Parts: sequence; C-alpha cells; structure tokens
Amino acid sequence: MTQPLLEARDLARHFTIRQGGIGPFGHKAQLKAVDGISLRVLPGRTLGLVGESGCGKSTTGRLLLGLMAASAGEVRFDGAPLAKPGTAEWRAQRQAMQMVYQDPLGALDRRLPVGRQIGEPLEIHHPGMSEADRLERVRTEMAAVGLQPHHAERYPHELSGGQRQRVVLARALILQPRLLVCDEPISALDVSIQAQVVNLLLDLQEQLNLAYVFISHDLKVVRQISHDVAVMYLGRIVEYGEAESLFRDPQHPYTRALLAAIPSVVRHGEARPAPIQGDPPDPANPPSGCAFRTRCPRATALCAETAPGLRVMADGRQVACHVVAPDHLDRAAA
Amino acid sequence: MDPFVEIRNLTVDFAQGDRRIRALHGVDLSVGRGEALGLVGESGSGKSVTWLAALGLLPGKARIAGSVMLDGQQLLHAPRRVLDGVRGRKVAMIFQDPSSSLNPVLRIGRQITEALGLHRGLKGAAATAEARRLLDRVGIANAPRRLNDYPHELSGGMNQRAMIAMALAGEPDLLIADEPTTALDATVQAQILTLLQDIRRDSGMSMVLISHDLGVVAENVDRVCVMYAGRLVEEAPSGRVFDRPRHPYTRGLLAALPVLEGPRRRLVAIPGTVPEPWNLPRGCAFAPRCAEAEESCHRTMPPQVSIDLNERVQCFHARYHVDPVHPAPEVVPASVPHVAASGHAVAVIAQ
Repeated sequence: MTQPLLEARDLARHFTIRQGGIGPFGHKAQLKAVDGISLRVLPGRTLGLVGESGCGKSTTGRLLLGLMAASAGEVRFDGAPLAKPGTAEWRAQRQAMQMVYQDPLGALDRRLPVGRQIGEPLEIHHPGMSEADRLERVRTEMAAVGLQPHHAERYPHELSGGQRQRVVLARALILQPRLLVCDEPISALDVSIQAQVVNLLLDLQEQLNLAYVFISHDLKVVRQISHDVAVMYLGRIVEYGEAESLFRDPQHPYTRALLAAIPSVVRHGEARPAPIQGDPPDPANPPSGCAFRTRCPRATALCAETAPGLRVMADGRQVACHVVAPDHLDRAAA
Repeated sequence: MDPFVEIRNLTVDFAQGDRRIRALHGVDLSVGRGEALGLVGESGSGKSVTWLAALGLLPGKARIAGSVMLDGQQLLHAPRRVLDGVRGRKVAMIFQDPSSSLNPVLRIGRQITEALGLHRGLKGAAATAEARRLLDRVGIANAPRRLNDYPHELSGGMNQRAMIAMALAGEPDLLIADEPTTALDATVQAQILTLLQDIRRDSGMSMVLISHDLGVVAENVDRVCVMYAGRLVEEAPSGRVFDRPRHPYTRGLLAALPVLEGPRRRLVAIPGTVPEPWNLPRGCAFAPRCAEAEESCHRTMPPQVSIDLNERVQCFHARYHVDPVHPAPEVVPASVPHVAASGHAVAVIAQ
C-alpha cells in the first residue's frame, strides 16, 4: 500500500473561551474546534474536507500544516512528525507543504508587483539562488498557472480575481511542494472563473503529482476535484470515504441532508426533500452525545447519551452514527 | 397579463471624475403579479443595480434614464412621497448579509414594529402582536422571547428570517431578494428558500430572486433573465433556459458548473474575464470570450431577438444552438421589424 504523504491521528484543537457575563463575571469554557480527527492523504490525491461554517474544517487545515499547534494528536508528513517551528527540519518541511487561501487579495501584498511576490519564497528558502535563475523560475511558474509574462509587473489590484488566485497558486508552487492545503480557494470567484481554477488545479495535480487537501463548503466542486471526502460536523468527522461512492450513496444522516440541500440545475422542477430544521449548534455549547442529534430525523435515545465513533462499513467507508453504523456491526465483523 | 412592474430601456451611468461610466445599457424587464423571476449573472452584470435604480436607491452620482412603471405609476424620478408609498410597502427588499442590514443596537422586535408603524400605522400592543405573528410566520420559534433579542444573539439564518419578517411587515406585492442565501450554510439556505416558496404560495406575492447560483434560481423561479455586462442577454421560462440555453454565455455558465449527479466530466470553463464597465469591447460584450463569435459579433451589438412572447435572446447565433432532442425553431425575421422606444431595432420573429 502506498505510504500516505500526510497523516493525522486523533488531531484536536481546543480553545478556552469566556462565556456569559462581562469581564471577570463570565466563566471559562472549552470550545472544541477540532475534536479528535484522523485522516490520510496519499501522494497525488485529493482529500475534500466539507462541512458548514464552524465545523472546524479551516482549523483542521491549519493544524495539518502546523500553522497552529494542536491540543492533542499528531500530524505526520512523509512519515515524519511535524518539526518544531523555527528548526531547519521545519523549514524543509514548510517548503513541501503550502497553503492557498480563499481571498487572494488578502493573501497578497498590495504594494509589491506580483512577480516579486511569486519569487519571494525563493528569496527566503534559497537565498543563494541568483536573480536570473529566480526570475526564470518565476516565469516558468507563471506560465504553468496561465499568467502572461507581462503580469509580473502588475500590482494585485490591477488583476482580476481569477488572475490573483493564479498568482497565489504560482507563489505556492514555486518551492515545488508536494502538498497544497486549499481553503475555499474558489469561493470568492465568479462561476465562469471557478471552472478555470478547478481545471487548473486538476491539471497541476496531474503534471506535478501534487496532493491536495481541498476545504470547501461547495459540495459540487468537492465532488469534481476529490478522490476522498471527509464530512465534518462540529469538530468531528461524521463520514469519510471514497468520493464517488460517498456522493452516490451517502450514509450519515448529515451527509444526506447536506447533499439534499444543494440546489441543482439538473433536477429543477422535481420536488426536493424537506430540508432539515434548525441551525448547526453553537460549538461552545454542543449537545450531549451525537452533535447532530438535535437536527437528525433518525435520532434515538442512545444518540443523546453517547457520541458515536467512526465505524468501518462494508465498502471501507467510515461513518459515525449509532443508527447507520451501530457498534455491534463492527464487533460482528471483527 | 398586465405586468406588476415594467422596466423599459433602463440605463444607469455612474459619474467618475469627468467620465461617465455606463453600468446598465437599456434593460427591459417585467414582473407579473404572483410571478417569481430569477435574475442571474456574475458580479458586475448589473442584476442588483437594475433594482436599486428602479427603486431610487442608488447614490446621487448615478444618472438614471428610462422608465419604471409599477402598478401603473412611474417610479423613475418620482417625488419622495410616491417612493415612500412604494418602498417597503408595495416592494420590499432583502439582501445578502442580514447582519449588516439589521441595526445591531436595536432589538429585533423594535426593528419589526418600526416597519409596521411606518407601513401599516400599527402601534403599541397591536404592533407587538403583529410582530410576533410575523416571526412565527418566518419560522422563528419562541417568538415572544426572540423579539427582545439583538441581531448578534441570532444565527445568520435566524437574522435572515428576521429580515424576511421585516420585509413582510408592509405586506408587499413584490419581494426583491438579492442573493438572500449566499452568506448562509447549505442546510440553512434550503430552509430559507423553502420559506420564501411557502410565503409566496400563501400570499400570492411576486418575487425577484437575484443570484449568481444557477441551481438556486433553477429550483425557485418561473422565468429567468440572464444578464451580462449590464445587458439582459437571455430571457425565457426557467425550464427552457436550463434545458435548452440559447445564448452562448448561458450555455457557458451551465457547462462551467460542476454537478452532483451523473459521471464526472471535465468542466468547460469560459475563457477570459468579465469586461470592466469602462472598458467594454465594441460589438457584443461577450464576443471576446465566446467560442462562436464571428467578425460581426466584434463589430456590432446584436439586436435583441424575440423568439416568442416570453423568450428573448441578444445574440447573432441564438439560432445556431444545436440540441438533438429539441432542435431550436428556425428563426426568421418578420417582414416589418418594429423599432423600440430605445431606438435600436428589435426584430420580431415569427416562429
């Protein structure tokens, strides 16, 4: 079996927050933004991370890159644990894993021509490189993401949203990383531009054998780009498996609700199932047991008592649900 | 059918320095009573500006021309007195980001009763009772308590429900929903869209749904208008637009959209970007990105072609659309094209 490029085990990030009352009158509470998730990304493959706002998918992305310290659990990149920040190993690891953010304008320096910004990671990580070599690499990378050479002299505000996201990609790629964590990379773009960037990401993956962690709330795009998908709800993975089968036959009631909620131009005119009720719960004040039970059409008494763990189903998919994947199934299989 | 709103040749120019930049290039649009109309297009296509201009909500530096008839009344450059009787009363609007449309320092109940006082003259206990009923109507549980909440105490979905309750306070005949669910999570978006459908079914209210999400529009409206660079490029019943799009831009948008069902296929992206309003190409604004563009497209703006009473396309190549299952009808210009008020010819097409 292929060795995973990135592997997370029981990863958690808890924040201490103050609740109720002003100043010293509040009480401390734990916000479990990410609460024990395990996942793996193979080289050249894409893991889609989906869920609604506040489910912890962006925090997970930052934890995976070591941009934020984990409260518990471990991340391994290429077989080795994430190095301590500031060390030489850490710098070497940082080159191999890069982040692409949602808002390219916010991720770029407004006062530097974009060519300079694309080359900047080389100045930091390869200070010995000659300027001619560096400019050559910038040109190559710009061509790879579909930018014209004359764009190098432009400032971010002079480019369109799609071009800016290409600049961000070129800057991330110039160190020849093996993993990109893309946090909502196309959500801020117009529909016609989204397709350009999705196709570009797929082409780059094929040419460079890049692995992606693709974080998005847009399930249609995630389906288009992912090999595997993890669905998150309130800091935990509720369903995790191969993209095609997960979208064709969702198991967890939350995955089903999420898929049923996506409006479609294909099935217009057909009656859609009634949407699930309520809002996602407050992460600082989650319900007991299964976090989804307050909105779940199939919740039982057991769901309020204990939180279900992930169980492996017959097709290899993992589902965390007392009803769909009860404990005894797993024991019988074992 | 007598339309409730009829917009004719609406143009909007924004003054920038001593230049004037045209944002809207003569839009013709109508909304029937009880009808749900969808307005789609990418950012900058003019879908929001159309309605802001129609309701006199644009800043003073905008020059607006054309005609906006609502219920037989001219709204464009109408005196404030007339507009006050329309805005919030006959036509209500909800926006993308409810938390920035609500006043953060006033309780929800106060904001709804204020609208009730303005539009229906309700005061005191009567207004509170009606506000409670409205919150109930938009699906906010425990309405009496929620009336005392501030916007920050409610979730995004709840705030959008409160906005809808405020919009309903004037018992409007038309609700303009400008990207009402774009800022909301998928499951909450589905709830809000279902709520809007229910309200429309119960009250017979017309609705204009402005969205960049073709899926949202496809499932919620009767008729669709597609806008590009300040022009209306295609108009047709909802089913037709999504099954048999005629304009290359509409076809491009649909081909660029990933789907949840069926086999995965590579997306067909529209090359290039939306042109800036101050830098529009000569001829058809979509021509530089259009795979079917010919020389004529780069030279002259195609006329708006009416296919039948409720279908219009602004493209030289609308007739070339090949659909093996539903071949497009042959488009033949009628002998006498009539000239629209705007001055450009509108070919009347016999099917």
